[in-house]
Amino acid sequence: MLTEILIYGSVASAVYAMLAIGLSLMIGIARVMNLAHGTFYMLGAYGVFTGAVLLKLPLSAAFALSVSAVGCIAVALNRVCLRPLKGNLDAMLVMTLILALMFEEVIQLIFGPRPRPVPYFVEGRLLIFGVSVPDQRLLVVAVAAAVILGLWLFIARTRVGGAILAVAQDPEAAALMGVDSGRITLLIHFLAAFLAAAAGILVSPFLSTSPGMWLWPLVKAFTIVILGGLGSIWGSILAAVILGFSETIVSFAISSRLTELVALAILFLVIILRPSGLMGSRVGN
Amino acid sequence: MIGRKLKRHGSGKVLVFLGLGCLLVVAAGLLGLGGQPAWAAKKELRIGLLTSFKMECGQASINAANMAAKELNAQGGVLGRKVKIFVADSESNPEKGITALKRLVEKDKVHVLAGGAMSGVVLAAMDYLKRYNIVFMSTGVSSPMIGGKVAKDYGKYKYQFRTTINALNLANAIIKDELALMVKQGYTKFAVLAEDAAWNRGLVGFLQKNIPTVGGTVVATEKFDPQTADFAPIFSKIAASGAQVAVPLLAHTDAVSFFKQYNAMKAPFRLAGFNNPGLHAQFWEKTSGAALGEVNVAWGALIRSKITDKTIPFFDDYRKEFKGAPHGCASTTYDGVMVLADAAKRAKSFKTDALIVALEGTDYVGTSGRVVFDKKTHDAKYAPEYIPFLITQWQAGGKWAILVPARFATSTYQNPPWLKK
Repeated sequence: MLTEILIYGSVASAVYAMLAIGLSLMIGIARVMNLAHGTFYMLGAYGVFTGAVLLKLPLSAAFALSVSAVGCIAVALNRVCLRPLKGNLDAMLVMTLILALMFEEVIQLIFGPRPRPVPYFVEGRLLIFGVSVPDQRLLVVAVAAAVILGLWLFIARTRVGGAILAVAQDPEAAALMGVDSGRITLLIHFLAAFLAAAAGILVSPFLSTSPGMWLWPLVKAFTIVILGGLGSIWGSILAAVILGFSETIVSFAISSRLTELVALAILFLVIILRPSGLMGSRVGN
Repeated sequence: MIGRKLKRHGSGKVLVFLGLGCLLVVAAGLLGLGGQPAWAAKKELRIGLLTSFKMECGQASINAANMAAKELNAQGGVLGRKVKIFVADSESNPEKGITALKRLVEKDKVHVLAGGAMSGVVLAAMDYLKRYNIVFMSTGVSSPMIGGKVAKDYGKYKYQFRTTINALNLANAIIKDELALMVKQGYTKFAVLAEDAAWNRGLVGFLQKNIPTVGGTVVATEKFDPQTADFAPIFSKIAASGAQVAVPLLAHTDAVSFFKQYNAMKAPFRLAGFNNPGLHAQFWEKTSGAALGEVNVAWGALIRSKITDKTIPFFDDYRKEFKGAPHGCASTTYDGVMVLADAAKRAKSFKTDALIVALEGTDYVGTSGRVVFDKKTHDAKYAPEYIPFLITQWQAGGKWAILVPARFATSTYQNPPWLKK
């Protein structure tokens, strides 16, 4: 059982980390409590379905087109819908909720309510200590690790990354130093949507795509961001690992019926016992 | 006050306004503003289809009901009236289902109700049937509680009939036909793998209790949320239990995802149970062939097989008109509408009491088999001599084979290719 927990816990953690890092950047740097974040996950999956299944493009091309398109949609939404509401947190919250519900309805109108199948990026399976693991799941872990490492290098080693950190620490001081915070905000929106879409695409071959698929990932992303601490990438990764493994352990040791309850229980406990999360600032600040 | 106004404006003018007002009210009634006009309802047999638009069962029910209405109308209607289908969305929610039911009865003035795609909605709706004095032909729900309520309080619930299965009959078919077949192949260790939903409450316990009666043992039971997206941990647990056969009970689960994950893992057990979303000739394409090896219980005109003389024509007509094979709820809804029409013809009336008596005497050969309602539960009888259950299997090349009963069999059981005999 230990091998299964290690393997499936890693896969779940990888997906959650990709989802939550984007949301953490969005809240911590762009200062947007984005309830439409799960929508990017869903749009990514439908994007690759459209590209690979409907337009018969190669899967790699469909992947690239889908993440780019979703990133652009997020940038456009920021300019048209969110920027005019800057400073009004309540209005932004409501606006992002409206956007999430609207996208669900639109996707349902276009693709219908039933799940749409996406082909596997890689076929086959690997036997790890006697446990049969489909290659697609191992691909999720590998891609997530590469993307997160790439993001960390981008933020830590490039000038643009430095500007992102500056805006995160003190937007006004960053502006005085000549950093265009508006552009940084747009970049954050693009990156957050890119990461969420990539997560949605990678899981779509084994989880299918459906219009309502955005809700639980959103709940889990928020749980991770709150547990990890707002604006902390490493906190998000740690929290994603905690959630991914907790769910897997509960599923194996107790009942898979209780899996979805784990995120809610963690959220409840963190808000009451440690609102600042593991490595970040207090919720509500 | 009124007297003073009459004096001020002149009583003649007021009377003219009052008269015009009355005319407007009458005209609005005739035109059906705020509800269907009574005169229109008298020229039609109005069937209200209460279903869930988002579910495949709902869409199939709408298609099949309209198809039945079209055929009845081509034959001159029922007792000289054209059949018209009115649809309302329950949104798979009992509260919204009741609102939709009220709209069908009060606004659309339907004469009978049909449909239902979720047991919870029909159970809630049953409490309104006596109040509205209206028959409900359930065509897409399987909770045993529905027939149980009719048996327990006939006076209150006699309005409810059902052409689709009762989960208890299904449970018997799973045990006696499907799992007995697996035991015959030499597989005796079973794991029950059930989504947690109203329709199969009781069914899990029934399987646990009765699998030993056919020579099997239950080595694991796993319940999961129908919203579950990742089945890999569940399959790993079943594999670790040593089960040779998992018995899935699926209705609201994303079955495509379920089978794709099962196939990708090459899970070391067979699947033989009840998969409602998989009751479709296109399930093979939907899963990209991942359904290979699945054994399922089916009925009705799901497979193009000569169950009755009406099965193949229905299957072909449905596929031609709706560009796809019929779903499980299609033939039960089609038969449900036809049975209602047949009862009205025999009763020579659309009145509810006469309809109930006629429905209780139904013996109608439909697309699924012979429809005869149980006197106590008002459930259609599912048995070899009435509506037969079919044990099916997806086999290589996308062939949906019938394994049992022998008179309809098109193949014998085959293991998934990654599992040894």
